[in-house]
Amino acid sequence: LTNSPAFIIGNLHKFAYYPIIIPITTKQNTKEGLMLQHYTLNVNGTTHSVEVAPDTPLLWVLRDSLHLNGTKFGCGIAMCGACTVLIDGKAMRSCVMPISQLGDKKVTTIEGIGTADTPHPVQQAWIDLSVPQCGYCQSGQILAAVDLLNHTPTPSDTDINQKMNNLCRCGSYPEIRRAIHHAASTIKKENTTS
Amino acid sequence: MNIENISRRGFLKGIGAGSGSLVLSFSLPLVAKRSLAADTSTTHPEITAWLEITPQSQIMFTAPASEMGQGSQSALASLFADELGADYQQLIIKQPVNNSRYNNPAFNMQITGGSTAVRAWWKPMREVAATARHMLLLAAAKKQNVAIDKISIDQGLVKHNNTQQPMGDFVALAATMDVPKSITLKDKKDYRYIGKPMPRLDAKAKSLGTAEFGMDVVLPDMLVATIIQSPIFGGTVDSMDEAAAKAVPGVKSVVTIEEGRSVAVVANSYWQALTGAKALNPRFSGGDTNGLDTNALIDLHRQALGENGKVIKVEHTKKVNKPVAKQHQFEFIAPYLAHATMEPMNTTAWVHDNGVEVWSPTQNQTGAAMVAANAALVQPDNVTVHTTFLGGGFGRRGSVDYVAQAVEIATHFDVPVKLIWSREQDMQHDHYRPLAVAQFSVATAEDGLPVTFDMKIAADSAIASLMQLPDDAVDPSIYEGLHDQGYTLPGASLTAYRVAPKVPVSFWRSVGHSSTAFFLESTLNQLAHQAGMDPLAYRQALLPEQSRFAAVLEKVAKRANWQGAKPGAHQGRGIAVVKSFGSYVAEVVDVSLDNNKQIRINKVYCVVDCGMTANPEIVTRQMQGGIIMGLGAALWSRIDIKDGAVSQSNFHNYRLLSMAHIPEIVVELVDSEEAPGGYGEPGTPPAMAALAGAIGALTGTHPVQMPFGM
Repeated sequence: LTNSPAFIIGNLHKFAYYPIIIPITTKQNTKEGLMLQHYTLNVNGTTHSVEVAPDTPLLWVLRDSLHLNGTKFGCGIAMCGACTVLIDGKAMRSCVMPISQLGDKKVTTIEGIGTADTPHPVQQAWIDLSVPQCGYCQSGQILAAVDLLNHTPTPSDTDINQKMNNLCRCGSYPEIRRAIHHAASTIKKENTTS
Repeated sequence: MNIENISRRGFLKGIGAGSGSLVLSFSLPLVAKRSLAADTSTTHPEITAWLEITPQSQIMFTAPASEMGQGSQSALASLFADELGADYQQLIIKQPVNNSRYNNPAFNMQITGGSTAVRAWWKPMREVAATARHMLLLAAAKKQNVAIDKISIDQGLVKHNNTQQPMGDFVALAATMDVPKSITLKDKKDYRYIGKPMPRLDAKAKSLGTAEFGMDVVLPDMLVATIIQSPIFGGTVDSMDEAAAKAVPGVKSVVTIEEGRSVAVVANSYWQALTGAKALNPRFSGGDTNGLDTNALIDLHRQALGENGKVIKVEHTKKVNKPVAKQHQFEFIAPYLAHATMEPMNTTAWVHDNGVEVWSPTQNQTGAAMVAANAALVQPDNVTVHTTFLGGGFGRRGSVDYVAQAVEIATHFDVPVKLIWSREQDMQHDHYRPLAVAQFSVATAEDGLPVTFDMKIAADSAIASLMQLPDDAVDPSIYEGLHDQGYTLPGASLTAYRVAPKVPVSFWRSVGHSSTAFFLESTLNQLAHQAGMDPLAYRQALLPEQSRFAAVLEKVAKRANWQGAKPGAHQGRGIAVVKSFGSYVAEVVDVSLDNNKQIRINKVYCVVDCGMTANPEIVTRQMQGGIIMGLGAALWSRIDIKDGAVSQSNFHNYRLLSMAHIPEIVVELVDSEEAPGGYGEPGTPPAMAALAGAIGALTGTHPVQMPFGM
């Protein structure tokens, strides 16, 4: 029982070292919960229609229905953060966000914040410092950093410690920290010049 | 340097079909020798060349190593670009398909591991590039009717006097040139990229979210499968609710594979497959590990220590004739560890009329092709393995269990099938770092230094597991780090014992060293403590003064301003030096107790001598990453067995370090002319050992069992 995702998600507050709050109430495993339904969702400024079960996490709608594969599957229980996207600008774990609860909130994924020609300043900092090792967690790390910098333009190391709780198995944390400071100063400069 | 060229036999060059490119592909002589594994080269028409230079001067370079974060593809690109005279930043790296041409010279099979990528390819990779450069020079000399020594190639441009032309202008002619009998490699002073901190070539794609991992493979009409494996290793399925699974919209099929040990649910999407798998609720029985738990397993290893083991020669020992003043007995335990790569296991397979195609984040293309052939009942050369980026490897993806499963599932369909493991399956069906139990018996003289040093270690073997060797086979993956360290241990002896309880095991970053460094270095810490000696001084007393061991140890002590293991109240310092994978690494770890009486790691100093480097920045990052992985494992990680199955299931009960726990890490590279050593793994063992020393100094109790925290 203690290993079931439902139990873990219901008890996440007990795992104090991962300060995350996740909305979760679904009709999983009931007949209504399984039936396919139509949803429209706004991702990176584009409206999409999908037909999925109501309990389908946003992560799998993004990946399997929309083929936006920059958002990664890591744990399925909101612990690792590889699936982090912005929902109305706030970094959220899409692996536990049922599509039925998304409503008209706007979703931004790694594909939506920058392009190869014009990367987001946070992406540019990641590139400049060669942050990624395996790279699998970095979409989530970058979006968590975007949210952090939106609210805290010049974060302290303590701010970074508190807000950046995405896991990186390669241990790229020292560079993630450096890149956040680097991006903060770039964004500041851009804001002063514009 | 003038060297004999690569074997002209098997050297293929030509003009790329219709493209007018220079294409070079050949086997290296050492690789062309009889391979350890069967030849699993694909006959897929896709290019299996080392390099292709187009008339537009695009340079495609096939990296022979899988990229799992360790930066090997970028490091090899430095070697390649330098010798070719290409612009490093403009290289297009192609992922390797299965081909014996890319066999790792260190293993004679196509596998990425053992921190070998740069050291094994250091020379061959440059020979490939230098051969191409020489042919371009010949072509340029002929076309411009000048002597070859008047022409140079640098950053993609062919230069003569004050004129320069792109490489592509000469590829058509170069392709008609004879392959040179001998080539000259660049002098060190002429290196433009080798040894320089070049940015990683995969950083951009990985920051934009466009890098393709195995998980991201999408093919037309593809189905998605997920799997439930017997919780008890080797058990088989008794019953399941197939109708309930098939009632889930989108579920296509339930497939029992691996002779009943696993069941897969195949659907249109992962969530449907997972929902189907929950409804399926398979029940298993039997199994090789039935009834085992962690304590019973530890006892099994202890028992083995009392039986007949294999005596291993210790490299550095001597006889001393001092009277024994004290006898010491130590026992150490290291638990099973999961790799917990961020990307769960997955592979996409398509079994069609012309053979099998596999898209896999694998460290082991040879193994992948062999198991795919076996699962689909085709010849290995009818299997094409497309390598994707790996979302972490650390040894886990040297095993190809998930490849075999994907192909077996795909034999039931005409369309491609992507198999995705849930995190729970990944955690509970890893191939783990083996549990190890060691017992050391040391006699010391009045001065506190050893007179005899007897080591016994019992563990399962990663090598035997990969190579499917008998249960009593003993190999260095069990005892490495105990017989080959730099210490001269008086009266040293070592016996290794194999235990094979059928919990799957494999290579985990730094393999045997991930246990043995802690065992040996902790013994020295305790001996130093009992002798009232400083742990640094105690080590120096056992190390030859003129050695790379002593040099890195001295450097790290200086860098950390080592004044002893107890710099202040509620503080502790540990120090360790370990040679692994051809490199010498010494580390100092500083810890303190926080307000909640929890151990806090404050700072790590690391000095590494890994010989000449392709890219020192990548070495630094690998040291940091290796240290973080080692500290996290030593502090928190354990895989427990209960009733024959793994207890841990996800990141809530298999804790990894996150940002808030990361100490400041200072890495210093020794400027070295020695042959290149590995760097993906050697940062890990001394971190675990130095942390143990720091905790011992802090608390007064030296830990004897990992993990130390919780």
